[in-house]
Amino acid sequence: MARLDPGLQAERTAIAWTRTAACCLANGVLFIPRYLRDRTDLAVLLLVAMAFALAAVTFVTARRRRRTLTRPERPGPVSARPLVTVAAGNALFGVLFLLDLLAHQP
Amino acid sequence: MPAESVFRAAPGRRGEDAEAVETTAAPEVEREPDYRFTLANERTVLAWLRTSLALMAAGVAVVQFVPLLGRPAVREATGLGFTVLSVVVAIAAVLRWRTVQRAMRRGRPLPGSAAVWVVAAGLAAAGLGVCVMMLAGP
Repeated sequence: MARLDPGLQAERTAIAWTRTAACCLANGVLFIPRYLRDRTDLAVLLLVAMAFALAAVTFVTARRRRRTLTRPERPGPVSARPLVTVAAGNALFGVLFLLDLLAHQP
Repeated sequence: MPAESVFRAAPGRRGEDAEAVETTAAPEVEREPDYRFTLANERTVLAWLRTSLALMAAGVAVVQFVPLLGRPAVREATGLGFTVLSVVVAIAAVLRWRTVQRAMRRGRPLPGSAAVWVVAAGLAAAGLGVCVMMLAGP
């Protein structure tokens, strides 16, 4: 760190982003068994693709944020866009999953 | 850039402050808070988003990986509950991040939050659902 960073604020924040990206991956991974069972199921394809895309976006944000936070200037607040992307992406994933759930009701 | 505004606000702070107090009624004065508080707020919203992602994973797991547990209707209702809770938490997280940042900029007290209670109640309900499924058997 170029700047004196008492409490490792910047590092903790950067790591929190990376951790969030890893969590995004989990939702996609959970659908892989179902994908392997039926590779033509469009809903599953979409769900897996969405989860992985969300994870990728978050990883990129984590990298950018890490770079910003290690600069010597005092860091400003994060822009709302990546946060809204993760939240909206997860919400959309949930809605899609609910629709899939209701469609496959026995 | 917000990063620069912190710097710019700092040196002329006294003069600006005195002026602001005299000309406008204080509450509308906005200033970026200490960067440590800003980053703490950012980490908090990320923690909420991770909570939301974990709830989603729980919902998916209940539906996909425990086909022998309980009746299909109860199982799917539990998965549905987790998913709805996850969506609510994701939206509430970002809204709260914005509200808290705004409150800190204006030097107001932080607003309270019902989110913890909602999540706790939801988890308790889901836990009860799983208990019922396990006791009732296949």
